[in-house]
Amino acid sequence: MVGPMVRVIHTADWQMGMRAVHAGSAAERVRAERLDAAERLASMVRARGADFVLVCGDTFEDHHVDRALVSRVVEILASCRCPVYIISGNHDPMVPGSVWSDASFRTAPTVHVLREQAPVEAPCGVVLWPCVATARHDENDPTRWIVAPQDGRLHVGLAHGTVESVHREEPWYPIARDAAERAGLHYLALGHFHLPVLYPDSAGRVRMAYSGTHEPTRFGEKGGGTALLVTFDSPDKSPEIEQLQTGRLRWVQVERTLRERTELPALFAELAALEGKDTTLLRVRLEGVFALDEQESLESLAELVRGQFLYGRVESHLRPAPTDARWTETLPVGPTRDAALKLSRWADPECTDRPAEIQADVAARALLELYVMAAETDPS
Amino acid sequence: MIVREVTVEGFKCFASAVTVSGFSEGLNVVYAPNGTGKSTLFEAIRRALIDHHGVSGKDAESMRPWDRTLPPTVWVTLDHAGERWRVHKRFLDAATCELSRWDSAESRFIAVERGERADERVRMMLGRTGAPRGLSREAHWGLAQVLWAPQGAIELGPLAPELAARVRESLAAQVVGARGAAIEAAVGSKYNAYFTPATGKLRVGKRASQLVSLQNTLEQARAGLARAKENYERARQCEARVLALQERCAAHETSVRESEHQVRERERARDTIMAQQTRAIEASMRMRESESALREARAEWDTLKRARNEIEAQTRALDEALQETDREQMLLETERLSLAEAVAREQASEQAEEALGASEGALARAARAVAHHDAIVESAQRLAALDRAIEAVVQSEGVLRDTPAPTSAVLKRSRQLQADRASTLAALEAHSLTLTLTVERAMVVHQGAQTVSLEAGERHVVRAPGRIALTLEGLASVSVIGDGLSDATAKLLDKKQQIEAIAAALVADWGTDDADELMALTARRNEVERAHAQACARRDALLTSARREVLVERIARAREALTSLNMGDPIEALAGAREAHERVLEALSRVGSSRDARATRGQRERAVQGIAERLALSRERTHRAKDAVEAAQGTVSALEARGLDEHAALRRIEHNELAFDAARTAEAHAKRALDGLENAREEVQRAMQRHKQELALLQQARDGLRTEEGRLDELRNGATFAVLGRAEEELADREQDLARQMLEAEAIKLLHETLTAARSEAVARVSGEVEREAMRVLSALGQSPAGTMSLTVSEDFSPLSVRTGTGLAVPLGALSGGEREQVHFAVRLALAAVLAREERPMVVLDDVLVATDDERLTRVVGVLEAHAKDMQIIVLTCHPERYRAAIARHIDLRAVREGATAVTSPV
Ligand SMILES: [Mn+2]
Repeated sequence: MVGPMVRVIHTADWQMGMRAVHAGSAAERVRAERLDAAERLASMVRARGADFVLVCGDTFEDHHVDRALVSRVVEILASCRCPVYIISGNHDPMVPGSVWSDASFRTAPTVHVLREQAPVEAPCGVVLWPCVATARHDENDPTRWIVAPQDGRLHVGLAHGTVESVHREEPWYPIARDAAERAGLHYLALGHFHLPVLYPDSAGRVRMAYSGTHEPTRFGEKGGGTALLVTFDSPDKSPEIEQLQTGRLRWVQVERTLRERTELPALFAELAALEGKDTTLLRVRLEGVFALDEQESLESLAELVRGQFLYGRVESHLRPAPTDARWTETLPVGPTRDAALKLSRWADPECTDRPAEIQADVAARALLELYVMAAETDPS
Repeated sequence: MIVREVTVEGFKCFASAVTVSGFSEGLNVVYAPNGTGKSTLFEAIRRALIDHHGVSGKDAESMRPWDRTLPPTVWVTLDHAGERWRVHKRFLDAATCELSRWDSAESRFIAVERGERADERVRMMLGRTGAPRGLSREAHWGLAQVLWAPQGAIELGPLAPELAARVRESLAAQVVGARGAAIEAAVGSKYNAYFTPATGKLRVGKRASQLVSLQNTLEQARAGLARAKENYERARQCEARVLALQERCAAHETSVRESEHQVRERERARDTIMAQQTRAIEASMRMRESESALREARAEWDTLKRARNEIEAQTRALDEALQETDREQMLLETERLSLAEAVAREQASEQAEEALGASEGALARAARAVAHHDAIVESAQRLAALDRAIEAVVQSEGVLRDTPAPTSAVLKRSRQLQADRASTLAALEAHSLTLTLTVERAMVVHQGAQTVSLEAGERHVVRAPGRIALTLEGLASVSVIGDGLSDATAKLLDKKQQIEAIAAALVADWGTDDADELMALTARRNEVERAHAQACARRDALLTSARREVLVERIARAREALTSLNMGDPIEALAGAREAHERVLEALSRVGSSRDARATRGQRERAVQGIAERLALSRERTHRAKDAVEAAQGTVSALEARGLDEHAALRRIEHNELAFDAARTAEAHAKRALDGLENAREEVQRAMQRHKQELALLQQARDGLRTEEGRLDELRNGATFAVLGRAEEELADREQDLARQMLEAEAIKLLHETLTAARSEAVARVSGEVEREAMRVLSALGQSPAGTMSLTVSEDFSPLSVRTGTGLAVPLGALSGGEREQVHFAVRLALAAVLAREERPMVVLDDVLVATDDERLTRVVGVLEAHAKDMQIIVLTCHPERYRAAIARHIDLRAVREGATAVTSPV
């Protein structure tokens, strides 16, 4: 029978062993942070006295991750000190010989990998309805099979999939917007989308939610690093949902189009003032124009980004400002000035007489080199 | 560089010291007769400025004067870069070189360099050429190769490549400038750090740039990634295989269950078949029983059926015989009636034939009467024709009497007369006189009995034989007599009289004396005679066929015969007889001939007899059929007495047939089923075999699955995904590094190439300038009007071809000697002019332009004067008169040698 209160931690998309090509040299650190975040989550589970934990798919990035990593994850799951129920996701589908057949799972009696599509008894009389992903791609609603009886018990579903195409890159396992309502579930715990999303039903009660990934995975993921604490008072009332912060890394993307001389120093100041640089991955993309004599400022910006942040990268698509024509006049008449004028024209991406094999970026850079060398030979 | 003064001592023909001074910075003409030492002076300057002071060997020894052992020594004073310098070089013995600069404070030259360094510095002044390498080849002269034309050798030979490059460099240096050169050098050195200048490829080996090692690292990272990918793919494939094998195991399990079921099914089928054997034996026995019962029933049925058939057949035969008897009886009656009819027809035929004989007699008599009548008519017609012919003869005889005809003598006479008259009149005419009278006024003229009235002016001609006499009324009588009437004339007049007498006689007899008219009379007579003869002939022809009496008698006889026949109109009688005959013939045709009727009667008699015979036969058949029916009925009655009828027999037959068929079908069925027994046994075997195979396959699949599961487990130890991820990360890292470096390298390369291209363009512009300048010189020499020709120089500035106004490129070799040397002259001057922008150069022309005529040479002088504004030009010549008019410093070398004042200047 349902007790007075049931507390459930809902998490998903740990993507353990994830590759981080976009994080460059910080890739190992990014992977390690995912374990740390999981440990933080486990300690929150203990602190909050949750009755059990639901892990809704994509616990692992792939079946062929390190075995040691699998053992470590099992350890963390076991450290929750309450039952943990796991379903597979599209990255770690339930197939023979998969990561789920790893021996370490047999060493942790509280860690339950739900291998079949059948209701399971959980603590506090809760009935779990696991939607097990058995393939990397599937175009059917995984919750279709669920028909939870209205028997006064608390029915909770676990599924990994895409609600109304929320996930544009991996639009597999489509899940209807009213899946929980239709299946007769009190709550449908979802995984796959990396940001927390709550879905109220027709009566305005939240019966379905994405917990978000416990630790953000990449640039452009604006949010995540979360888990949900779902508290059920009674089957008739909608659950109370609290968002827990588990993530630590920040993935910051800065895109600027420079036009004025003041903008580069301003950007430098802005980035220098950012807090938590050692847990921030930063990508700066610059477009627009710059004066040739701003080269040094640009260099120091790049140094700041590369040197002080956990990971930093400046992608410059800047080109010399057309006003630098005055500079070319300081060059000696003849081949040097002719070449400078030509490169300056080619550096403009919209230049029409640039030979096809020459890129504007290369021409801009060549002009910059010429600028440096001309400065070195300047008699004045 | 401007030469100001040269002093030579102990140098070839200059044994004692000679100083030539007073050179202007413009045009200088050094003149002297051949052998005075012009070229030696030029050699001394060359050696002083270019040659190494320490030269030795045969070539160097040639400097020594013939009769002295003094070391050859040269002093050259020159202006360069705004200062005055002196070069002092002594060759061969205690060879030295000293370069001094004029110190205006101390008013003397102070030595600045000695020895080889001095040699080198002087060469640099001349044209920035490197270390001296001896004078034997012009190619070692440096820029002087262009600027100095040795004796008679104006042609600019192929410049040494390094010189051409140096000239170019020199030209380019002007274009690029010092700062530009510095930038170029910086770009070049950075470029060289990345790339091999010769190939433009990235440096490899010891001096390879960091880029190359980055590329290598990247390649390694790529290879690492490829391996990681391969391993990961292998793991994924293994995963897929495990899944597939698991599905296969499931499929095989289903197959095994199915094949087991099949075995049980086949065994049941086989047992069912084996139960059929007993059934076949029972059916066979039943078949034999019903077969014999059937045979018996069929025999009884056959006997009964035969008797019934006999009764039926014989009853039918009896009926037929009776019917035939009746038919024959009726036929007999009919035939008898026909016979009586035939007899009656025979009698009628005989009567008709008699009537025909009588009618034929009557017809013959009537025909005879008609013949007599016809003879009368014909004879009467012929009699009338004869009478008409006789009358015609009488008439023609009358006409004959009324038509006389001249005889042939008469005709002859008339013809003679005609001829004589004509000839006589012609003769008389010949003897005639002619008088022509023309009256002036109207007048009457009488001539014999003839009177003629003449109008005024009318002419009157009179013609007469022998004599003409006439009277002009109231005027005169005129008589004209010829020769007198001759005898001939008289005779002719007589003859004329005779002729006229004969003519009168003929006219009296026949009404004419004309011969033709007389001939016509004869022709008329002949015609009348012919008509008479015809009438006679016709009458005679009629008389020949029958004389008149005969015809009359014939008519009388025919009338008598006709009367004797006593028949009235014979024609009508004949028509009546014919009509009666027709009727008789018709009657005869109706009854037929008596012969036919007799034949018909015979046939009928024979038919009656035949039918009577057949009737007797059919009566006999009737009796026989009656007997047979009675016999068969006896048989049936006997069988029925035994209680047998068709119905009962048929029922028995049907019953036994059904029983037989059922037994046979049962037996066939059972036997057929037994045929399948072997097959069913085999099926059981096959199903068992299949089942065994399926079991084996299942086992195999399970083994495979276990193996693949083991393999997958092992592969998972390799953490292929983790490895792949790290490889990808590393590659991305390396790619970024490389891209950064690559961008720099590419930028340097682009900068270098762009700069080089810009420089080439600038130098190309300089070449163009040399060409244009040379053309200006050629135009000034009068070679062509400006702008109508163009000149092309090669890479090393030697002239290649001249393009005429028509666009035709003429190679230099095709020009005349004079034209060619002028082209070379022009190019040398042009090069000097271009180089002059850097520093005023010294140009030496040692007795060149030998093939150029005096007139053209005047223009050459003009050109030299013009160029002398920018350069020092020293012309060495033995023809001072050619340059006499030139605005130049004229230096008389012979006078110098003789110690006289030698320098004159028009300025
Ligand atoms: Mn997913």
